[in-house]
Amino acid sequence: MSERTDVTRGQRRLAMVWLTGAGILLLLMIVQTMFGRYGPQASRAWSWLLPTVLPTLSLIVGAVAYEARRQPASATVDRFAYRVALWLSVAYLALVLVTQLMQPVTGLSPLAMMDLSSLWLGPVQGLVGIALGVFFVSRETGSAG
Amino acid sequence: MRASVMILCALPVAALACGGERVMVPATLSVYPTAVTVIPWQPRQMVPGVRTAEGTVLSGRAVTWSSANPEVAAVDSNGLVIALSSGETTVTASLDTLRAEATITVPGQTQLSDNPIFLASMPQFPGPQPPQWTTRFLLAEGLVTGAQPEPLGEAFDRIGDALRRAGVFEWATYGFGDSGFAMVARLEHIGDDGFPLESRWSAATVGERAFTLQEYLRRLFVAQPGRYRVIVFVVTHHPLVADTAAQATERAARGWLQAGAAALPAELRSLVVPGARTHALVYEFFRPTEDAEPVLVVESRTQGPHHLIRAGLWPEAALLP
Repeated sequence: MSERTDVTRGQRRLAMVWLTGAGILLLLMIVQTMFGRYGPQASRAWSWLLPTVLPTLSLIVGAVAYEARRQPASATVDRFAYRVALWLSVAYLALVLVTQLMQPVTGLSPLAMMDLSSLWLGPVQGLVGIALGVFFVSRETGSAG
Repeated sequence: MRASVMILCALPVAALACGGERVMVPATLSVYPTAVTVIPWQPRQMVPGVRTAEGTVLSGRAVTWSSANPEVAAVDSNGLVIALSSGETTVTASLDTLRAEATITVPGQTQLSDNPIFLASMPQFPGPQPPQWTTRFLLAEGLVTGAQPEPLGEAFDRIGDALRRAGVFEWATYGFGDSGFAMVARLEHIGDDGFPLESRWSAATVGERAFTLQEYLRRLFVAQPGRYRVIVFVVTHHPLVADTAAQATERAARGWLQAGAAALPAELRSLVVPGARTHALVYEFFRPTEDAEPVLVVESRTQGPHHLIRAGLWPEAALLP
């Protein structure tokens, strides 16, 4: 029998990772926009960032909110699935942040860097989505292992 | 008897003495050719013919030249005809009371632009009027040095020398209209003050300053604008009016350097164009961020002469005759 962990604790940790990572990215983008970093093409920059973090963030926050409204019950998820989802989320958010922070040292313009980043962010985002899907599907009602 | 013989013998001697001092009197004056078509970039030499009544050719006679319509074609004291505008006129050679005329025809504008010699040798700068510029500066009123008009080739060489002294070693040459030329200097990266930047010939802004933490943070949060300049020298006797419907782009300005010729052909170099002026057209482009397209600056912070000064081209004695 596989090791299992409490689903509520797992969801909250995932939510913290996503809220922290997305918060840093959003704050960075807000400051850059305020200082005119993207000029008249700020909407293009935001069009890159929002689909990059908001869908998964919305999923995580929605799951946590849903769980908070349920009657307390002991539910578990596969611990391996939880760890994969957690660390893939950390890696993905770190990759998005590094993409933003590395742009000034490259020869690429900000939007050109964003366009190019789809080469690596797209596949990783797909993996994160699958890992989170496995995390939620592996939920079982019962005691943690 | 002896006196008669002496007189008879003296007559031939006297005749021989008088024949050595006989004056050749011009009887006829002619001009060659009698009718000719003259195009602006090819002055034509008229040749007078002076003969006696017996047909003896006389040389070294001072012939006076005049043109019935100097606005169509002018003629100098040596009989060199220069075409100025389309039309027809008569050039007259005068010697005392003798007159000879030649008909001079200057073809119209369409005929000039159809000239195979001109089209085959030179690409034309966008025209007939240049695209809207940022600012313009009239460098020289005419190309005249002293009393003699200057061939276009000398003006071309002078501008080329000034560009080289200013560190510009790449330019493109175009024909301009039917009797002028344009020299397009390479597009350069300048600061807001109009002075060339260290990365003068590069559009990139990365690597321009020392890479410190402060510089990194500046690049991370603040836009990196770019300002660029192209200087075009135009030598023409036509009035220069901008085509306001055609606004130059930075990409097109870069293309000007690629599409032009390296030098003036011989036909244009030897051309003397009275009344030609040298203009400096400045095209300035501003790019607010790295991703934005540079746009033409309509009202520059830097005036025309200051652009040339800060580019190292003015005051540059080499630009003036």
